[in-house]
Amino acid sequence: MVRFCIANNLPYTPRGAGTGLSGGALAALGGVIISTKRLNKILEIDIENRCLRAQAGIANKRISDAVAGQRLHFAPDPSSQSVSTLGGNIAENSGGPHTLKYGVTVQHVLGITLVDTEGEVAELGGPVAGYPGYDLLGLIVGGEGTLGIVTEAWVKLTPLPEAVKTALVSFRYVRDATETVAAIISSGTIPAALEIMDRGILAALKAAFNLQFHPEAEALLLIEVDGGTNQVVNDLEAVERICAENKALEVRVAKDESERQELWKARKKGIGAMGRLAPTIVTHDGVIPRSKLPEMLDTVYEVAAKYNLGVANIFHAGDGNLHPCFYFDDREEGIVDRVIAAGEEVIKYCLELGGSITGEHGVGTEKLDLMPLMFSPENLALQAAVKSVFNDGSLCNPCKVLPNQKSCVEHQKRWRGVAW
Amino acid sequence: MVGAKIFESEQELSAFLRESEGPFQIQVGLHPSICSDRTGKANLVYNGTGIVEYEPQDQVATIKAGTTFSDIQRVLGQNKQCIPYVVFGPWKQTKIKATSPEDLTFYGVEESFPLSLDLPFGEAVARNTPVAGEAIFGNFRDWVLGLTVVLANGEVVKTGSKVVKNVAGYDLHKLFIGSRHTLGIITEVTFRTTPNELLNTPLNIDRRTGKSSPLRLNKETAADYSHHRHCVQRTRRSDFADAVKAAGEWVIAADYDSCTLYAHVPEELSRFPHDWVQYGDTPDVENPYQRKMMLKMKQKLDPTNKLNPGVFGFL
Repeated sequence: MVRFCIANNLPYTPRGAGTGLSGGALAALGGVIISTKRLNKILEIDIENRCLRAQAGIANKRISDAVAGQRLHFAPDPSSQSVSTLGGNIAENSGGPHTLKYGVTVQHVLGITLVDTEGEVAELGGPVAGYPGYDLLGLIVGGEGTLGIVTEAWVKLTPLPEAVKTALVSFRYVRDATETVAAIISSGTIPAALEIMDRGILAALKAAFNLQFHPEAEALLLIEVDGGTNQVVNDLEAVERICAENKALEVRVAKDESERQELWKARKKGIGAMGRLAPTIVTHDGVIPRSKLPEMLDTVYEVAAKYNLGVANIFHAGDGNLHPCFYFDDREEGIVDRVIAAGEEVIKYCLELGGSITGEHGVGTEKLDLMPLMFSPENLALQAAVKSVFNDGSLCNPCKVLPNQKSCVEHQKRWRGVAW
Repeated sequence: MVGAKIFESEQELSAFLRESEGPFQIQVGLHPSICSDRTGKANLVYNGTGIVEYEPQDQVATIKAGTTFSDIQRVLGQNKQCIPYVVFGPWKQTKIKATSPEDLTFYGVEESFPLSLDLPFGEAVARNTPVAGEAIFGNFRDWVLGLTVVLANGEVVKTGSKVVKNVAGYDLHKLFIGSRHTLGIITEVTFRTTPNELLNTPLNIDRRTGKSSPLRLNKETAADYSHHRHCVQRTRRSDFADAVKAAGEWVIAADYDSCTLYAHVPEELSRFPHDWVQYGDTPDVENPYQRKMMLKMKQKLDPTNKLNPGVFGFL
């Protein structure tokens, strides 16, 4: 297929489930979309060596389901994991709520088979982690499908923890929740997940699912600790103590798995519930040093007020990875422009605090214009040089990741017209 | 190292590289043990040292690449943090339970083994020698968040970021980790730190005690072991016990968590399916696609082969 596209000078764009949030699956210049959805088989499960080889189109969660009986799992758990594909996760270097402890996709991919931009099939890595020489695998994972099309991968299987404890903590102010996160991290306890939901999300959850929280709660912090049985008990005690010191209103600890799922509902259903607040939402993705979370959230609320927009925050607090969600009715004239401007202002402030324009959603077509704010011209030139080693033409997944590519600039307005 | 050009600032190094044709044998830091196979060959040294920035609350630090591990650990230790870097030295425990970075030292191995507290961090990053304890504590690729690099043409480029999660653009810093300064000279490293509390995890590492260490035996018998080489081998879990057995008396340490074997061998090691081996100072790249792409990358970033030619053999 790739060779056909080259022979006919057709742009082509690889695509998994299309759940990405930065326009990575868009065929930016038209042409052919190469879907990996039917490459959905597990090829080899090697329990003894804790690894598995699967095709790129398999849904993330199916990998974990296949080895759950052996008490193993594939650790990256993006919120879209029931549908998003292994190949898509590799392209975007996906994270998820448990990134804080287990790391992102690149730490769990041992080897790949890819179709390179000349149409040749190549392999990198294998069932044994790491290898001497340049870390090309580390470049391709997170390359947003611009350095070749991954068709198969060896992934690492991680033992499921012996014990898990989950707590949902209510706070009167979101600042108390963010300060609790900073205190937990600096105490040396690394929970498996630390997720914050603010008052906007709480309102949505109450409206959509009638979930009830402490009446004075303006923010929730979901904390999960896992590991050995004794360690989990100690970690939970330490975390509860820190919450109390940081003015927690209430700490609900799940007694069993069904209560744990109930507590996670607040996190997992949060974005969907926002449909009750407005017909349209735009989820942003920025990262800051986690000690700057209180300051950053204040700015998010100020920016929303300045542009007269509703905003709710649901995010991976432990990583400093923010997801401000603007909610609005896109039929209102001019509001889409305000949402774009507000989003860019938030992301620019992330950079001012020493952060990044994206923590897990990727650059795609959405954030091309923001790249020069984060990277110097020398860095962008180096990125372009490195890309050209793998992809020297303009056919493979054009107009992604790097700004100002030939023939892309004129199309940008069209994407914005379509997307926003 | 007689006659080597030594630079302590990026600007001077950058100005020099803009005007010079090379080729240069490069190292970061001045400690003589860092290039056991190549000591004395370096004619260009970057030796900027010191902590540039350290935010204990964010668990992120930036250092000049010539700063040694021991200096970094000392500073991080004031905030009960560290780099969870297991080094080699004499100690008799086989199961390690550490509470401070000093506990992560294996004693009894000569200093030139490329995992030592005297190693400058930037040189360790450039070598990416597989660290013991990697399965529990991670490795350079997990710790390093960003790098400053001086390219062959003298350009100074900052890569990566200072936050623990970032997918903006290509992960260029990963390309330089393990590249042995063949694509650019690492001058600054930003990395995540680890709370000392997390070291309290038993590591499943067996190693020869001080007296029976092959390296100690070499010294005491004063025999000619100059043809022995340090080597690191990683295999699948299912082959690891056989690999340790096959390496026999030459094993220095065996990390059963990451299935990594450290040895000092007179000859080639036995090989196993999917394994990889790194002998001495010349990493052997066996995958043909990787070799092809490494060559292309080298030609793109250092077209005149100015930086560390020959380090990978084929580059």
